[in-house]
Amino acid sequence: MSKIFKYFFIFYFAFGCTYFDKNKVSECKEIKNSSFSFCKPEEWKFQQKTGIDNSYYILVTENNDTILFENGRYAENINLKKVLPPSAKGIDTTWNIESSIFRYSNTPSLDQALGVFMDEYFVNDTIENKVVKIQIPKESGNGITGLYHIPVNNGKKITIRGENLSKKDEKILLKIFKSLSFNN
Amino acid sequence: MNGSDLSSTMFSRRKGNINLKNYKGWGQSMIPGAGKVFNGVNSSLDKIENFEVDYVVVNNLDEIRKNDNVLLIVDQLNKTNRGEEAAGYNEGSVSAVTSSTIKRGTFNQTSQHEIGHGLGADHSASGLMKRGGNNFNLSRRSIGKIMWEQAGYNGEGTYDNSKNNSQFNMTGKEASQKFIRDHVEDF
Repeated sequence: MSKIFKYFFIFYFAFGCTYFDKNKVSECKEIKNSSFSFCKPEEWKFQQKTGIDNSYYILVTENNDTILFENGRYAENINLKKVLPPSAKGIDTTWNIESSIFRYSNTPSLDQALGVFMDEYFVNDTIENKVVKIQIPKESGNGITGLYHIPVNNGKKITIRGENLSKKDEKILLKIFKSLSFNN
Repeated sequence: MNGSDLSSTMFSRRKGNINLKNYKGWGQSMIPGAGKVFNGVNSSLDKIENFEVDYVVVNNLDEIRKNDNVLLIVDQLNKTNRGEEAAGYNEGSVSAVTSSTIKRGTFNQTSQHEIGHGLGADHSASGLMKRGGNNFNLSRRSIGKIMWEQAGYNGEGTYDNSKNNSQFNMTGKEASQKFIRDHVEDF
């Protein structure tokens, strides 16, 4: 019986040390604003910046990499649903490139539609029943780790994105995505 | 705003035509990843050959015509945009720039940034559409986004046919009045 208790204790401790157990305040700092809240490592700095026509935020990692956090009408978006059909005009006339460096099929437009050449995977996910698009580098350190949310009814979009992050920071950012909570 | 001295800006005359060369060029395809793969190659399906703005400076909302796109010059934006130099919509017919940008010498860049938003460009990592704005260059991505939203497969074919913003369901004057109520302090 005491053995079982011991194992249970060790198991609990291992998971209690992650950044995003909100009960461990020393390692997880909760950030709240009017539109969203999330949990970040204590060491990462969260700063507000004023742009030409909106305020935005940056998260600065321990490596001094900057992660953009934008919540507004002009936030960058990706067009996952807007892949061109193969029959689109002009599709074969402009893609004249040495292709031996790529793995490709015999149908270039299909390769493009499937994202064969892209640096990242794109995943549709939900956070609190809201659809988000997640962008994850195929190879750590090379590509964008991002989250994109477009509310229905012309509301404020949310974009979070960091580029060429270390493997460790990439994992932390993906956990930050999971800790996101939308306030409207 | 009545009485703003625009003599040092790109709208220095009572009416005129401006050719914005920085809006010209090949755009990046809006297919995710395409721009990177075809770096250095014209990968877009569309190109902006020429970009001209016909403008008239007016001092009264009654002078705004039905299908005009409007750039307001205001003293201050209200609390929803407090401290910022401008406000507008991604695909919208009305935007506003604060008069303080004239003194700072950032009016032209800020105005062109808002024109970009009005045409459907969102923020980008560099150039004219950068959040902080650092130069006049419109990135290939922004050009591609404008073409995509206005004339491409996602667009309706013409700017004022855009269905993505309710401003296009109103006259220029009505849209301006609504914009002022929503975003401008003591107009």
